[in-house]
Amino acid sequence: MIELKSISKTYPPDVVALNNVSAHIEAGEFVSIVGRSGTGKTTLMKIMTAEECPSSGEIVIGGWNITRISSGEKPVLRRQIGVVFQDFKLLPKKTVFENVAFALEVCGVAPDRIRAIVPQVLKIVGLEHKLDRFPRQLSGGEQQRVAIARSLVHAPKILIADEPTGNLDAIHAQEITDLLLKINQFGTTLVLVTHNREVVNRIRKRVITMEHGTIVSDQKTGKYLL
Amino acid sequence: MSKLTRLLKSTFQHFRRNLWLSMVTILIMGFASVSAHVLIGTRVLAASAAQLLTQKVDITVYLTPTSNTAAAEGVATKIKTIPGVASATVESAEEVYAAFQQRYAQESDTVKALKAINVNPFGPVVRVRGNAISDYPTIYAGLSDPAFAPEGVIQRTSFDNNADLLNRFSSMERTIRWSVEGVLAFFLLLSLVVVYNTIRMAIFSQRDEIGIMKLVGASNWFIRLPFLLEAILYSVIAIVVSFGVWMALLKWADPFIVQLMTTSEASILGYYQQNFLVLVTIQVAALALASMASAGLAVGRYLKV
Ligand SMILES: Nc1ncnc2c1ncn2[C@@H]1O[C@H](COP(=O)(O)OP(=O)(O)OP(=O)(O)O)[C@@H](O)[C@H]1O
Ligand SMILES: [Mg+2]
Repeated sequence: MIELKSISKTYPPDVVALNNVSAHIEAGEFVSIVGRSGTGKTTLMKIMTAEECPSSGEIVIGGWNITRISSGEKPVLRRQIGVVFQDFKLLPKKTVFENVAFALEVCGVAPDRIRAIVPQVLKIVGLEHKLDRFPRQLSGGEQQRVAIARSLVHAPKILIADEPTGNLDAIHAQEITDLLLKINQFGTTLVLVTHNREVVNRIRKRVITMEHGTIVSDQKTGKYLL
Repeated sequence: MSKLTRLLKSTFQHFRRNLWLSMVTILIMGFASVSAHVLIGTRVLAASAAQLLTQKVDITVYLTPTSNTAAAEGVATKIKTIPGVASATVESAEEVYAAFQQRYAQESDTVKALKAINVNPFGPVVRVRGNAISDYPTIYAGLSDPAFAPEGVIQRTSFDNNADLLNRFSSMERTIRWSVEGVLAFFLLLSLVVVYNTIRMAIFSQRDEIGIMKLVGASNWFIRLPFLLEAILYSVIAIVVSFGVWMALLKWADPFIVQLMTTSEASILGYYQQNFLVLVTIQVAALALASMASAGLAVGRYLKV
C-alpha cells in the first residue's frame, strides 16, 4: 500500500530530516512509528501526504508513484488519505457537525450526501449525540474524535495520525488508540506516529523506530524501545 | 450547482469577515469609477462647447455697394471651390441693410443718420463657413486670390476670429482632461494595491480553513476561486454604487448644465441614458479584470496549494 524507496529529505540549507528511509506497509496494516523528537517522523508523514517532496528516493502509494506529483493531483491523493494531528485543527466557530461537513462541502459534495455521511462518521467515533456542540465545549479526546471523524468522510484507504494523543491524558489517549484500532479493523491502513509508550504497547502491532532520520528497528509486533 | 453555491457562499463569507477592508476597497474603486465618470462628462461638455464655438466662427466677404446680388452669387460659387469650405451664403444688400437697422433699432440716432442719407450704403455679403476650425486659415488665405472676384468687387474680408477662443478652450479642455486622467490612473493604481492587500489579508485570516481544505482534498481552484470572485464582487459593488451616485448627481445638475450651455448636446445625463449598458459593461469589465489580476497576484504569492 505504501512503498518507501530510499527516501531522503534535506531542508534547505542543510537540515537532514530523513536519510535513506525504505519501508513497505501492506494494505490493512497498523504501523506505529516512534522515535525521539526531531528524528523526521513528521517529515515522513508529510512526504506521504505530498505536503513535502523527497529530496531523493521514490514513494508509491496504492501503485501510484507520487514522488513528483503535480499540484493538481494532490487533492485526488488527499481524498484517499485521512490525516489527524496532535492539535486537532478544528474550526472553532463551527459546530461538530459543521466541522465534519466542511471537509465534504469544500470538495463539492451535494448537501443530501453530506447529511447522510456526517452522522455516519460521527457515529463511528461515538459523537452522534454531540452534533451541535462547538469544539470549546468538548474535551480534548472528544475534539480529537471529531478530527478523526472528519478524516474519515472520504472513506480513505489510509489514515495517518501524527501524535494524535500528544495533547491528551492517559484515559483519553487510550480511548483514541482503541478508536484507531477499530478503524484499522474496518480495513483502513493505519500509520500512527507517537511518543506514547503505553499507546504503543497497547496496540501490539508493527513498530518502526527512527533515529536521526533513519529506521533503526522494524518489528512485527513491537514494543516501545527507546 | 452545489459547487457554485458553495463558492458564492464562501465568497460572501470572505467579504463579511473583512467588512471594513472590503468597504475601503470598494470606496477606492468607487473613486476610480467616479473619476472615469468625470472624464466622460468633461468630454461630453467639451464636445458640445466646441461645436457651439465652431458655429460662431465665420468669414464674411463684403462686396462693394455697387455690386448686385448676381455678382455676389458668382463670387459665392467660386468660393465654394476652395478646399475646406462647407458653405458660402449670399445676403443681398437689402438684407444687410435690414439687419443693420434691426441691430441698431435701440440707437435711434444711428438709424436716423442712415435714413437721412436715404440710400443703402451696404453692398451684398457672402458668409463663408469651413468644415472645421482648422480649415479657416487656408480659406482665409485662399480668399485673397483675385481669381475669386473680378477687380473691385470685394471690398474687404473679415475673419470673425473666435478660432482663437476655441483654441484656448481646447487647450484648457486638454489640461482638465489630463488632470482627470491622472486622478483616474491614481485611483485605479491605488485600487489594485488595495485589492492586493485585501486579498492578502483575507488569505491570512483564512489560513486555518485553507489548511483544512488542502488536508481534506479540496481542489486547488475551489480554494483559490473565492478570492478571485471576491475581487470581482468588489468591482461590481463599486460600479453599482458609483453609477448610482453619479446618475443621481446628474439628475440634479443636468438641467443647469443644459441651460448654461444653451444646448441639449451638453446633456451628460442624456449621454449616459443613451449609452448606459455600454458604459456599465466597459467599467465593470475593466475594473473586474484589473482587480482580478491583482487578486491573482496575491493568491499566487500567498496561497500555496
Ligand atoms: N520546514 C522545515 N524547514 C527546515 N527544517 C525543518 C522543517 N521541518 C522540520 N525540520 C527539521 O527537520 C528535522 C525533523 O523534523 P520532524 O518534524 O520531521 O521531526 P519529528 O520526528 O516529527 O519531531 P517531533 O517528535 O518533535 O514532532 C528537525 O531537525 C526539524 O528541525
Ligand atoms: Mg512531529
